[in-house]
Amino acid sequence: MKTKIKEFRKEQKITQEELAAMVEVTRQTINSLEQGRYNPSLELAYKITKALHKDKIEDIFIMD
Amino acid sequence: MTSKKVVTKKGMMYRIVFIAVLMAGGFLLNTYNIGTNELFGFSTVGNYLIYIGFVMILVTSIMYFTKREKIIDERIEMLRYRAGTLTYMVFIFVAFALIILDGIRPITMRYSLFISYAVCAVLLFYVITYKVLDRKY
Repeated sequence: MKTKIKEFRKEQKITQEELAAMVEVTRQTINSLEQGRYNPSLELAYKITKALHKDKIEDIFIMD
Repeated sequence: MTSKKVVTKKGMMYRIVFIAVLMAGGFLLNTYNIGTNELFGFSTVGNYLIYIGFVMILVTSIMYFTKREKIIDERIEMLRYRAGTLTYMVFIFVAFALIILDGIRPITMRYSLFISYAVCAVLLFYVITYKVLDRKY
């Protein structure tokens, strides 16, 4: 799964640590998500979508 | 699913009570000469319990004074689960291999020492597996 987390995070000038605190996960988890090494649960995907002020999960997470 | 682990006063109290019970049990066993067989390199079971108590005091003190907030998120839970499953599978496989090896050439090691090695090996394998999976995921 590809993600646009890094792109939107940079756009909104949020650090990995800040985003991690917003969605209550570790910074390493955000890093893994950005690298595409880990697929999030629906709950986490939803939280990240809200934290990055997007409407749909598909805006951020793209299936290969 | 996320949870934050913080060393609370209530949690600390439970730990202190548990340590006190453990050490008191050790002193009582020593006083009444119960469990005088050697255990994991200790002369009596009581001494072993007292030693464990001291180790727990050390660990609890470090936890209390560092007071770091530890976040456990879904990725960490997944890593724990996978590392645990892998360790369990390897443990079963090694146990099976040891049964066969014992049939070929009997293992004459002391039971207490053997169990000590086994526990250390399981813990070490779990930690290594966790670290490897942490890099992968």
